Amino acid sequence: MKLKYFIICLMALTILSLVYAWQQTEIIKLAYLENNKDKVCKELLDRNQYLRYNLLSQQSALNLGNKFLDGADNFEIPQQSQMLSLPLPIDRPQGYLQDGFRPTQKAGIKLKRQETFLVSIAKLQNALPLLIVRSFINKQAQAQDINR
Amino acid sequence: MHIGISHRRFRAVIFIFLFFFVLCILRLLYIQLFKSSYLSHIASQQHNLYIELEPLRGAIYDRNLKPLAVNLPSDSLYASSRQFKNKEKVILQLVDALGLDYSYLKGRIYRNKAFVWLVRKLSWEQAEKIRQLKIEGLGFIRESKRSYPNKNLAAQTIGFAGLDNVGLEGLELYYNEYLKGTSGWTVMLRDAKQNKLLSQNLLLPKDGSELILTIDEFIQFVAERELERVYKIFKAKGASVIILNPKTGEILAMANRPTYDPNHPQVSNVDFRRNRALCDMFEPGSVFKIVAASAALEEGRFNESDRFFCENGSYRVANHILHDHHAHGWLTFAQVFSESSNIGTTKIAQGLGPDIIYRYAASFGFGRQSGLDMPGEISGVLKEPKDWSKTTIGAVPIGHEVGVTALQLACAISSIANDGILMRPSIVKAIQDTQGEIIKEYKPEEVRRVISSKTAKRIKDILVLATEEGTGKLARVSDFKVAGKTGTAQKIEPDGSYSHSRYIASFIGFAPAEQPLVAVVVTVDEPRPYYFGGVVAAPVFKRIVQDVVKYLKLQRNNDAISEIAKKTR
Repeated sequence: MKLKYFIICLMALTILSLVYAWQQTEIIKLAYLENNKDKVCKELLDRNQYLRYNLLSQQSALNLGNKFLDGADNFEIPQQSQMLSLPLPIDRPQGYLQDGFRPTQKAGIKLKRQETFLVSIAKLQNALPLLIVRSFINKQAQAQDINR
Repeated sequence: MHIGISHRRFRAVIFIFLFFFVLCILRLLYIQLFKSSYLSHIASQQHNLYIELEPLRGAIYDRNLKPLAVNLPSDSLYASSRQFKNKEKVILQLVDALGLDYSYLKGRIYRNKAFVWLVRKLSWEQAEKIRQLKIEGLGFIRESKRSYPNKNLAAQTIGFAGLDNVGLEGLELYYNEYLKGTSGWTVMLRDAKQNKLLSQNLLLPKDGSELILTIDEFIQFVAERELERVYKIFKAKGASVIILNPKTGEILAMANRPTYDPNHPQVSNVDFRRNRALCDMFEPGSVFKIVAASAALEEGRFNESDRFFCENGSYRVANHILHDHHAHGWLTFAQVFSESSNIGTTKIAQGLGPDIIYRYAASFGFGRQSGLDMPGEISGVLKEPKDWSKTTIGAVPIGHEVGVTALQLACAISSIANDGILMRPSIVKAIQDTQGEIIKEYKPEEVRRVISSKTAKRIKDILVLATEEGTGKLARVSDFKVAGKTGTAQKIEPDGSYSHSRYIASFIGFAPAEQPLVAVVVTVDEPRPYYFGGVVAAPVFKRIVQDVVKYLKLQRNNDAISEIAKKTR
């Protein structure tokens, strides 16, 4: 009887150890996957930022002014009577920026939450079984894809 | 006996096994108890990588939140030259792609190191070119590069940050502590190929705070455009324009020529990076006469209808002969200033005395720093009456033997536009964090009352007369009245005498005269062939205020319409 229990315990321990080792390798594999996706994501974001910067440069006062006024020395702002002012159809909320380099206040809070979440994921990986962590990671990746 | 021998052998084998088993246990205990921290440290060094996370430098915006300085992701090129099969070929390819010096690249690549920087912070196009070459042994590290979408607009004011994103000049330097942010760190798990995998601990970096300036991008553009024009037409050595809001002291534009592109500071002349409006001191000439005029009216010693004989253009002061540009006979007080008579001004100053002239000059802010939050401002020179010679009374009131900066002139003329109150100039409106929350806000600050409101009104009228009938006619605008004063100051030669070929032409004024929206100072250093302030600087003032006043009025109307629209929804 005692031998039987001993063998059962030994087998259970062995299986658990194997599961643990498998879990760690899965984590590393996921890390590689995440690494690759992260690289692609960062590359796209950086490219996006570079293109936005190009837009900024193009629509800057210096660029527009030099292009439109090239040689036109006598250009003047028109008189008030020559202009018609209309109110904007949409009220921009406070803190909104049109340059696209920064998120709005609400989006900023969202990003902050996402960053806090990512930190929690890193900690969770050490504590929880892989399956639960994996589902968290997948959901977060999806959310980031949608937002960006 | 046979069984006895077997038992002995069995015991011996057991003993040997036990002995080695105990040795293993002892060894394990030794490793686990005595060597564990050392070994885990080595393992940690091998598997973990401590990475400092660079914070994003805070952006700089104009008063309407248009970006003036932002961060751009940028690739820095490095080489692992041990991996190169043919170093010469690599060097030639890079010279062709990047246009770098051959000897520089040779020196770098032949170092035979595992990691050597080749070029920091390439442009995207350059990085793409290198990637397409597919040279093994070259790699890129993504960094953040400070970029200025408006190029040379307000270049000296904004300044620039160096390769390591540290502010080196201008506002980038002065507010570096706010802009730089705080680094974070992370400990990452890495594999045998040094690929970074999992982040195990993380402290997020705190991005830098952002500056909102008082500068208006459009007004700055107008100022730069007109300055470039006058700088080129008159082949000047240098030029500056400052545009202030006289009510608040906010600087709406500050432009200098020559200028540079802060995106490429390494190729610019150091002299071009100087903020002449703050750092260059000069003898102002006739624009300084506003001090004597203000003092005379404020002290009640003279009034506008008093008449002065201007000696037909030649007047002895101690052992010096003073001249007017045009010979005048009798002029009224107002005409002395509108016609810019040196002799008339000197006679008024002689009536006031050195102490009063000095007191009002100091009160207007001359001879000391204005307190602007920018590096490099100088205080100028204003001699105390005890240091005045017998000829100084004929020099200081007409803007000689005194050193001023363009900013000091701007503050002085603004005080007249602001009913006699001197405001502290400011260039930063607010500092905010990356979420848009204001950390620090700079409110307009009153320095002192220089002259009474009544005196300010009287001086305004004299300055309007100067543009209507006096030396500043070319500053007149058709849509509204402007007030201003011209100045044509001789520069000093190396031998200490006044030059007859090198001048500083200037114009200071504000518009509209009735309800001033802007105060403008234009200074042009060594214009050729013409050098009079009324000919060189006054038209620049006119063209600037024509557009800027319309723009500001349009802004006000738009704001009013938005308010009405909000209320009626």
